[in-house]
Amino acid sequence: MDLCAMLVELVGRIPSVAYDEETGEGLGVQRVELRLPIEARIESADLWVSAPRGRLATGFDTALGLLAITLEQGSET
Amino acid sequence: MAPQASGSAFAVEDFVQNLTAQLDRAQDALALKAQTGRPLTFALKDLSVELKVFWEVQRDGRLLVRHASPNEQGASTVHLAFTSITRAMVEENTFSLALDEDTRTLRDLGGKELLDDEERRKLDMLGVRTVGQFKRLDPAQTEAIVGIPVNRLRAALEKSARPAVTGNRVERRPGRHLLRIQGANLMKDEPPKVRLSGDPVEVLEASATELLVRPLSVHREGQFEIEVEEGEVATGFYELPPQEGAA
Repeated sequence: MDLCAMLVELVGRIPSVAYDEETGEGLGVQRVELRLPIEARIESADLWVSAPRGRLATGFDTALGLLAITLEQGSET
Repeated sequence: MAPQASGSAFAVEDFVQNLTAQLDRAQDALALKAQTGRPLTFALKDLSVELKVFWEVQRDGRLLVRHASPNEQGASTVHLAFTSITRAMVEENTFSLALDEDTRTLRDLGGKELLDDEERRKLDMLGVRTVGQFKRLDPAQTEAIVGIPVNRLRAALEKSARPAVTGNRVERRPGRHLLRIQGANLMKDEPPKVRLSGDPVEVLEASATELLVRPLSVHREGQFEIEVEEGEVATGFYELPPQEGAA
């Protein structure tokens, strides 16, 4: 998928709050740091990224790159 | 696009501009999520990408970048770090999009005879994604920067100024239904003349992007016409539910 779709998907999948209905207490996630090995390719000058193949590696795979992102809740600066 | 040394190599400036455009789109998508009921959506603070690439230098000194192919040894490592995309910036950007007077996409203007995929991609690199943003461009300046012929830009700008319908919906009011029509360039100095199935109807509200009209009791479905000026007509199709209390 292209980088934009990957970022939106990543951000959407990370829960921002864990809430226990029985106790009425919750924990919010303030900051998330991710360092993801990626398989990347440049196509029409756009960057396309995908997860490493892991066990499905064929021995004919591209060298892995790295995507590092920091997400913050309510970041104002 | 810059001339390429091989099928998969691209000029560094094109690559970085495209990467920035991809991040812009991610920023827009995250802002939309935050607006549509997920106020706790994370903001993207820092982002860096490390890529394994090979560099190619053309005879004219132009530097091209190509991603390492499988099992190629000796690739360089490129580390691109982007500054913060903060919530405040996201909201500021979203605000400007909300104020856009013409939110049609460039694809809505027409087919490839007007702007082809490559030209739309070049405009996207400049951050131009809506027709409203496109209208603010200077054609001569744009030709100089990204190389789209000025005549094609002028033709597209001319098309973008014509009235166009993008949708319509029924508004239920006590006793009768009204028809709200959305589009672009639907009004200039005076409210337009609107006909439903050939009958002139009253225009209750008018702006460049929306019209509210009062259908007659005989109207159920058919074609509507909006005449903004003589010879400038946009058309669409409408369907109204039966009036309350009708047999």
